[in-house]
Amino acid sequence: MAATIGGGGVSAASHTPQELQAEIKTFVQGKHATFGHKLTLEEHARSALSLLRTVPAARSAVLEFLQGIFDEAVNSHILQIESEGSGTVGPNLDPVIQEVCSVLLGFVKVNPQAWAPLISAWSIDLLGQISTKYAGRRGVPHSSSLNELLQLWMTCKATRTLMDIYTQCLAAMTGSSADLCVDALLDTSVQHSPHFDWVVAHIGSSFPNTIITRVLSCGLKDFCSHSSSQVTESHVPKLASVVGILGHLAAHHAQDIREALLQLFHVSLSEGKQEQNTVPFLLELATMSSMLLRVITTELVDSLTADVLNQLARQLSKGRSKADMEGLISLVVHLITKTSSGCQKVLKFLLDTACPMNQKDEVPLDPAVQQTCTVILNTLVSDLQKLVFGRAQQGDITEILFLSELQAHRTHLCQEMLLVNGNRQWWLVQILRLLGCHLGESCAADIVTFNLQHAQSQQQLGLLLELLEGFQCCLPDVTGAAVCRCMDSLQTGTLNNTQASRLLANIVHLLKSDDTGKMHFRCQLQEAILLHLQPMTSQLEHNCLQVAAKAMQIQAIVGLPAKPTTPALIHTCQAAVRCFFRVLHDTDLDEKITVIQYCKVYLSHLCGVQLGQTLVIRHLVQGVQDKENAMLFGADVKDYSSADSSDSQSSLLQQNIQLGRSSTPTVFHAGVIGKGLRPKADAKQLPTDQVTASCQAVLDVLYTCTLHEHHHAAIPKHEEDRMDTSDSRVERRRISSSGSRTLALLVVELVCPDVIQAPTDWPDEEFTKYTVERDLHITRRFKEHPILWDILKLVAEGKTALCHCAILLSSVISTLITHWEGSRSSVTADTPWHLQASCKALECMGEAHLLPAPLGYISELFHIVTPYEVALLLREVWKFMVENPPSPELYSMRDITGRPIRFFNPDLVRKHLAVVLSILHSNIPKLGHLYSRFQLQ
Amino acid sequence: MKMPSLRDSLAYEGFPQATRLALEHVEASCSGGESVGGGGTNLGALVEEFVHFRPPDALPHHTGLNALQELQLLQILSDYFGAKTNVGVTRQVFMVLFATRGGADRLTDHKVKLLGKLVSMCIATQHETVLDCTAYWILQEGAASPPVLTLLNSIIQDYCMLMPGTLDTLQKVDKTSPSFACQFVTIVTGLYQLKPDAVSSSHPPPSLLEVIAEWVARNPRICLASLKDTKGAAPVTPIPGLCHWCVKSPLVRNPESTQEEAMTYSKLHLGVLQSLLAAQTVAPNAKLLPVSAVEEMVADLQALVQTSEGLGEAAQLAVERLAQVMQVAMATGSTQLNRKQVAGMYGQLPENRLLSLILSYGGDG
Repeated sequence: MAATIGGGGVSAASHTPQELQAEIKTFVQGKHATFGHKLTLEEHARSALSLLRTVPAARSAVLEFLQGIFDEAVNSHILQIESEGSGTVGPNLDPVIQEVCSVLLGFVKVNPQAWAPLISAWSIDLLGQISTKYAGRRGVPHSSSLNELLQLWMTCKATRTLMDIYTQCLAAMTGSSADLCVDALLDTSVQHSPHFDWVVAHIGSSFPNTIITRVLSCGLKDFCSHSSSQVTESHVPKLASVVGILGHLAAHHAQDIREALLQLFHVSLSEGKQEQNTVPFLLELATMSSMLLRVITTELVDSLTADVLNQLARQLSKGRSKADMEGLISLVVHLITKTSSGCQKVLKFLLDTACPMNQKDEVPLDPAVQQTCTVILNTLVSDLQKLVFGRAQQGDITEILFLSELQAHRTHLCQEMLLVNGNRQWWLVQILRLLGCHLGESCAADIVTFNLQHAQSQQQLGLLLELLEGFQCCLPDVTGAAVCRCMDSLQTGTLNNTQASRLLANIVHLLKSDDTGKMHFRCQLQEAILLHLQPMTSQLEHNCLQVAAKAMQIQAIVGLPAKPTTPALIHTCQAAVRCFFRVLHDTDLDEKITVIQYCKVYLSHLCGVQLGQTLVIRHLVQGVQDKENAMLFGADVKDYSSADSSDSQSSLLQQNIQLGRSSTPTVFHAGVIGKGLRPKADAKQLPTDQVTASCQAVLDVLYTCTLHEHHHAAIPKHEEDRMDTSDSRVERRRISSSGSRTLALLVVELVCPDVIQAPTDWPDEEFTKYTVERDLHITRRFKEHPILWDILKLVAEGKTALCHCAILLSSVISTLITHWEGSRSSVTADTPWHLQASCKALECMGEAHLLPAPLGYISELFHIVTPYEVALLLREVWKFMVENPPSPELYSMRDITGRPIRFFNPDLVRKHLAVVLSILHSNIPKLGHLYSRFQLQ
Repeated sequence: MKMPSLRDSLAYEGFPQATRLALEHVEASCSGGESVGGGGTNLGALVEEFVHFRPPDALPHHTGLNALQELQLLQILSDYFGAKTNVGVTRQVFMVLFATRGGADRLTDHKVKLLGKLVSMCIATQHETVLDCTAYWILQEGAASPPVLTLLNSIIQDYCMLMPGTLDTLQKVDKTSPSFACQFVTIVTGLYQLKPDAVSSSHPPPSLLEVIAEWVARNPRICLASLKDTKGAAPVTPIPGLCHWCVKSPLVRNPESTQEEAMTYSKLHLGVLQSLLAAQTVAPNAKLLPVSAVEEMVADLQALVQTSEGLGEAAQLAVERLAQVMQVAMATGSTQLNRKQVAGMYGQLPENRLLSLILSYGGDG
């Protein structure tokens, strides 16, 4: 107060009252009181300033007049700019302005408490008026280009001076009085918003801290004063201008703003009315600016510890009605839906608070806090639902920021959803559901895919179904997309064996679920998988058998697409058969039998297509004889690989060097000269039961495969129908003629080394000496692969089909005849294989009606008669065969079940029966009981 | 029937001529014996429209005159009142312009604001008539009424807060218009009561205190200037308030108090004593120090003495000042209290030689 006594530089020279009256008159009338001439602007201004010093009552008038002066100065400045320096310019007011500035600042300096609010309000108001008034002028840049605007106004002496005056006022003020200045700024900002922005920007950057904290506290004060009474319309603009100002400062002072907001929040934790309103105020601010919202979501959430939350709960519940609280909650929810960055943090925070994961926090949470968070989450879910579906209905495609941003974290959310349970899980499921619905198929498919890959229990699959049901309504194709993704990941090999196996197992689960409510979904899944034949097929060849088995299971359930492309089919058949063999090989696969069953089912699916049938049978027959698989079926193959492996290490170069030095190593059957005897092949024999089981499995599959009837164009349509119906009535599971024919042809092709198509007629006996080598080869094949006999038997069941195998039979029989003729032993049992082979060959021929009834029984004699007699018998059979060559066309009749049978002339048969009967006669003691069997009826 | 045409013609003239004509018309009505109350409605409407520029039917955003025009208006009013010599009519016209009827008037705020500016200007230009009329206006409105307090505050704000450089102008007011100065002091003592509990707001600004001390010391009769306007009724003077200030000031310590301030109070105290002495000749038997005021003073003093333990010297000074006031008052007959009554009241106060001397001085009182 001491300073107020001395007037300092502003003290007025003492004037007489008359002088003062004259001065007032001069000022008011604008002309000199005593001399009567009109005052120039400078003189007028001086008179005003003198009045300001001497007559307090004239203060507002003087300030108003000074506004005019500044306005004039700005006007001439703008005119100068517009005329680009060439036009006439008004009086130079710079000195006057300088003087005004110094006088006003003198007042502020002497008594800041009283003058600064007055002068700052005046200057800021004037700046606002000027900004608005000249905004439309040609020389003034548009209000959006802030920098140009700032540059223009700061080159203008008048506005720069005003700005100086304001900043000095602000600097001169301390404590709460600074609020008055900032208040004025806010008010003006409200009034002259877009044109005034440059002022805010400039002042803000000069006093970032002051302005930010002051603006916030003024806003808060204003908010408090309005929140207590009814919400009026006037307080919204003030908030808006607070937001606007902070928005300007955000570019360069984001950190300061952040700190100020956080500080405001921390201060608010203490008691007090104003503090009570801080949080609602911050929320209100956040609704108006995404920048501030970001600060709150990214930074503020971090500081919400249990302590702070409890405190907040106490504070906010105090003196707040239920409706108020609800309003607050809906505000929070609204904000959350608008959150972009940090949304994951917010969500996590809400979830953590609503259902704390670990209960051992130091500070127990207030139940009210948990309750509120629960309500918020529930409201959030329902609001999001409304937004998502409301928008979808209106065709509005604007995105919901919260969900779009959350998209990046979908994997994490899925993961969490699988880990937790209870409410938390429910919320996560809902949010994921809405996420998918809002962001479309790709995102939804990602979510589904993730769950398919990671679900580990029935219950978790249940969640997946729930999600799918949610997506169903707006994204009908999501299943397809998800399956597509799964297939991609399977094919690119991003999944390890366990993951791949889990994924496939989950798909199997879904496919097998027998919930009728999920029927439509199962169908969709099936259809979707059917579209991905190629990837699924490649899974059949997965190096982990477990995975392959699952894939097989899926394939078996799903079946085959309606019209598979040829390449795909070829690949699939090969893969499926290969997989089948791998399964047979495996000894420690769980549920091997079940898997084999699935293989059977799938292969049979494949056989539904004609090409598929051919291929499957081919691969099966081929596979059976394959070196790797042959053992499985009791084959007697020599494995020379172990002997060769020792050589494999020597390099080709070395061999070449050796080649030069010594002669070529000579190879004999017994071994290589220089290396000693060929090592005995280690015949790896598998246990008999495994062999039996494998044989059974493969025959079963072959049988199933041949069941499918594929008709050639040659067979008339009506006949086919008739056959089908009769078949189905009498015996469903009968081997089909086409299937057996295919099988027969394949066996011939694979066993017979001749390239040309084997003739179906039986060769003359003389002719066999030209085909000795072939015959031996074929016989050896049969010897090596005993399963070929079983296959042949299968062919024989198809009756006519065996005709195509005539060449095999004739070869084997010709070799056998030679063997028996040359045999020196007295009983046939000395060469058990030949005995069995003879029996089996004749049994097959009998079965297929290549031999008529009594002749077909000859094999029953073989184990009793001598080898020579066997040779005689076989020769007789040969003769019969030469006379009655096998031919499918001769099967002109059908038995009662509709199977083709062949009619033989009994005389013809009788003729060939003579040798048999004579042998019976000579061995009558041993064969008497069979005599009647060889009588022709 | 005459008024509408007059209003129309005034409206046609516009500011500032209309205001001058309106003032003449108001004067004519007042001097023509027409009672203010009788033509009040029409006259009031005329004043509202052409002096205050706030017609009753104005639109909400109507702002009246701008600041420059307002200054011109003030000049017109000041010129108008400067030319008048008939005190009665002038006061009547003044009341027509500014009476707020106890704050009930629609334009109270505006009127008080305008009057504040007018008074502020007239202090600067040393305009006797306006200041005298204002003193009359204060008496009519009541010293403690809100409009009066607002007016005073605006003047104090102008001269003591914003423009300390113009303080010497204010110091000349007692010469220009003693009655205004007297009312001014009375209200100021009511405004700043030196309450022990409150802080700086209950203390007068030092500059204001200095002005008042200067006035009272220079011209003791200034405190009695209001007596001629309040004949018969209970006298309203600044003396009780000033006594309060002088007695309590040593004990009520302001954080910003300085030695200078103590000196100023001392000077003021002397002035008060002289005023009481002067009252003997100007207004004998006027009871300037009512019993209630003395009782209140003693009670405050007791409370202050009890709360401020360590201020023995200050307490002595305070009690001594009280004793001096009482002695002079009793000697000049400005109080109705006699020695016995005073002695009864003083029981609780600290010992003081002068006080006991006065009380022990036998007398008939």
